[in-house]
Amino acid sequence: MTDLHLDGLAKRYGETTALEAIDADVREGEFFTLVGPSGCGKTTTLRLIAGFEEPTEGGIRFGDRGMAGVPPEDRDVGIVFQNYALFPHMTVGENVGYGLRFRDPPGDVTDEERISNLLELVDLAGFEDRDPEALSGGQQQRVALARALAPGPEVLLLDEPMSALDARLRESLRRTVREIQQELDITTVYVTHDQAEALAVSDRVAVMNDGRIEQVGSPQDVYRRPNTEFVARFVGENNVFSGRVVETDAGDPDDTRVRVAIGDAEWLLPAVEPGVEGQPLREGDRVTFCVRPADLSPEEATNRLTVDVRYREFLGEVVRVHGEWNGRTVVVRLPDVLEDDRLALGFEPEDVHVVEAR
Amino acid sequence: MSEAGARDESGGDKDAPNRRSESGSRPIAVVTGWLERHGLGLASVVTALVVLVIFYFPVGLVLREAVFADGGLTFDPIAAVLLDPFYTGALADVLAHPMAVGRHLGAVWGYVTGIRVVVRRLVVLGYATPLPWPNLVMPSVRLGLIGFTAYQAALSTILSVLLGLPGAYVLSRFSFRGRRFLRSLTILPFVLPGIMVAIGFVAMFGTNGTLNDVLRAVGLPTVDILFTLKIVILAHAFYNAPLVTRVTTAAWESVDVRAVETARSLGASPLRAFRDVIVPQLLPAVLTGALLTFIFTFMTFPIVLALGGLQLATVEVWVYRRVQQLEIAEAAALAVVETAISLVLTYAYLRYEARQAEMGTGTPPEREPLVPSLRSLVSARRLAIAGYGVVVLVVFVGPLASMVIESLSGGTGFTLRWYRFLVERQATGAGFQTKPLPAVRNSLFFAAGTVAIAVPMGVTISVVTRRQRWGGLVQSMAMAPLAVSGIITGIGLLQGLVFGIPLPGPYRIQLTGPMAIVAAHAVSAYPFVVRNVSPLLARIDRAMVESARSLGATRGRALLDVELPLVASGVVAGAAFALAISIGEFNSTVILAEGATSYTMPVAVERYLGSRTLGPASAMGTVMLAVTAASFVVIDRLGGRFEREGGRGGPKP
Repeated sequence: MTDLHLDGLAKRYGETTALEAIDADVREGEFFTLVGPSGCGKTTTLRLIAGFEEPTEGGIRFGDRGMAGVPPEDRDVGIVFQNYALFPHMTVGENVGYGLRFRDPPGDVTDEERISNLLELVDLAGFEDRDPEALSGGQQQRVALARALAPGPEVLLLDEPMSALDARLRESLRRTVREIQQELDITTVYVTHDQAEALAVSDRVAVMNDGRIEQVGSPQDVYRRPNTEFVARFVGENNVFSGRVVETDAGDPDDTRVRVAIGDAEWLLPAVEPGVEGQPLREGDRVTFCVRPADLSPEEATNRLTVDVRYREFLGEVVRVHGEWNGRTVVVRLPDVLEDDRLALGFEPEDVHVVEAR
Repeated sequence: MSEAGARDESGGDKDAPNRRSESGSRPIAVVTGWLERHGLGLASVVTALVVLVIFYFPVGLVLREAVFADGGLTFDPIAAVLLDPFYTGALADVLAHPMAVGRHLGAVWGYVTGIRVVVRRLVVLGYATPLPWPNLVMPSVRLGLIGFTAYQAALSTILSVLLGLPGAYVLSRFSFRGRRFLRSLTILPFVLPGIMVAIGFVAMFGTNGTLNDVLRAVGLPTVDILFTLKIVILAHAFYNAPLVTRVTTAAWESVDVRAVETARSLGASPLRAFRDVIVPQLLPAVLTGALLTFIFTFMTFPIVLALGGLQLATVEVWVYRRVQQLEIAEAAALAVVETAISLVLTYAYLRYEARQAEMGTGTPPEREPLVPSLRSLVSARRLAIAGYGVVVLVVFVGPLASMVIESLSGGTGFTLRWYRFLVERQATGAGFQTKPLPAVRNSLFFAAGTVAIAVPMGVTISVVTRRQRWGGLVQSMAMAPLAVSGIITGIGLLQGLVFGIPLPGPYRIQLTGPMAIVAAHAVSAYPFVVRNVSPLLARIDRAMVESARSLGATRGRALLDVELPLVASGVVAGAAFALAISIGEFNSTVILAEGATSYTMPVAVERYLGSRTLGPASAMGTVMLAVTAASFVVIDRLGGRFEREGGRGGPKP
């Protein structure tokens, strides 16, 4: 068990920069997720932590143990890859026991006991003598998890472990992973491109883009209070607008609003920008703000917009409508199917989150 | 408290706290631990040293003759070769006057306008058939020795591709009994010793050969192609067509049936789908095979010497001749030019091969039965395949069978006297005479030594060069033994290792007799181990090794535990190649074994070659064929066990 620190970590391959000086502190026993689109540097970060590659600049510490020059086999990490990477020439038991060739199992147990305990933990009790290739994808991934955990690593690294599985299996496996992680209280770094998955399982999430960390925070934080336009668009579905502040003292006297012009429309927004220490917005500021699709409703509201419906998707509980407003796409989630070609929608200022102001 | 929490938490310790193998104070554990950590580095250094001492240094020693004279650098010998029309033909003038562009363009124009097409009657193996056939008539142009070498290599390549492609078609698209066996048999011709193939070809296509016997028996006119370019090219095709078949079959088997089905559903006819989808996927493989064929036939030596004679001399034969005449500088200069050409081709080949390795494996279409019913055999396609079968019988089975027949027949009919000759020679031969048993024993001993050295070397190079930025370049350099004249290597070994390499002080590196032979064999064999192992290694998921590393395995351990078992089939194939190359190696063996008792089977075959009869040589050749086949079986069995233990489910070639 250890905390994990990334100090100004950078990685360049010749001319291309994969990672640009990132800093992050992962707490002991935390489930920490790196999420971002492909090519954002999340996998590179994981590979640096595992020691498969050395950083160009900066360093990694496990607790106060510096990791510079420490080869992967001495780092005491367990890693699970997307494609399982089980050793096809070994049985399930031999796979899980492979790490025990080099390290004693934690606690006072024999190797065999440790193997069977772990297989039990991942719900594969008695699978020792099976051939890994005869197992289903989900089972193989659970074997990979058991294998990574067997020597009792300090840090567990998960590299898109669910991506190869179908949706239902993914959900059940991610619950298994989370439960085991909490039971063992093991410091975990999880890499995924799936923001919904990141929000569902993590203690904290780092949203990465283009070799940088855009925002670190709890899932609620990054969902409700994105710091940058990228985070606002990447995490969850969002409607992002930008406009100019035309009046700072609008609305109720006790609940100040600013008036913002977006094209022909004028809307009232909260008067402070939450991201930057609650600084008040000033006249002439260019603001970027977002409204979640579920916060737009067909009922009467302070801010109004009328969208031309382009198409509808029936999702079961709600209907997602993609419409057009002032030449941009607006997404809204409605409880009922409305057949109209034009929808009059509205939202309240308190449902708006201001992302950036310049 | 969690179970993982039970481990101790000694932070600040550089090594993992509960590391197993190094906990004991036993010296063995310390040594093996050190070896696991540094073994790969050590193996790389040793491999590099061996290649340096056994290959680069000796070869450099000889090639130095081409660029050093009177203690200074000189380009005179190389320039002399390049500017001599005897070597470079019409190109010599271009090289001598590179600025006279107009004159050269005029010469090219004159050549192009001189090309004519004349309709003659088709000639097959010396018979004029009544079919009209367009003949290309080219104005004669002086090719020079190098030009001729490239010309015969190009013809050999074309014939190899023509003979090889139908084989790939049959092996990849049809199912029949013995298909897998036949597929693995395609490796065989390639590793047969040149001297044996030469004897087989004389026995098959010679004036009194099997082919002419058959032709005479059915009352057809005989053919006489001995000592012509035709038989040389045919022998080259014997070696290389199976190679083309092999690489093309592998590519064909990895064509994804869904791509073809997509093309069909979009409206392409079967032929059109073949042209648009399958051909582009096969082309790289065919080109790889063609390029390799060109390299090998460009460097050809024993086949030309034995079947063609000096009037068909290639560069390599001329290098040999100049060496015999002690014109070392000219031989070296010629070898420098030859090596440069083949190195460029080798590099191109490696680039191509790497690109092919990136192609994924798909679900190949179902194979159709070759013989679904007797009636179906009358279809045009199956008749064509049957015709191809006859060609295969004549070109590939014929020479080997003829050699065996030759060893059992004398003048009037069946006889065992050639074998009796071998037994008598063994029993009563004088000390200076070549006996069969020592030849067999030496061959097996050298082969075992070669496998023991070449396999670790090859595996090391494969592992070290994988996914390295300079990996491609290092691999090309490591592949150099394929591209450098065997004669030059042999001379270099003689001058370098046998006479001894002086070191500072009273020391010198000296390798003599059997040791030198094993070293020379290992150096010519390890590139084949690399070529067998590298593609398989490239297909192993990087995550597999990284998982092992994270679980505590050092790089060396991960190699032993994970990678080697998964490339077992490639290692075994590489070992088989190494064995065959050692048994068949002739050039450097004959130089290094001269006068000594360390002659091998091919050397014995050559020494038994009489002027009047092929008998003793073909008997010895048959013994050699049997010994080679038996060792293949042994390697296959041993390797099979290794594969079963380790390679379950691993990537298969």
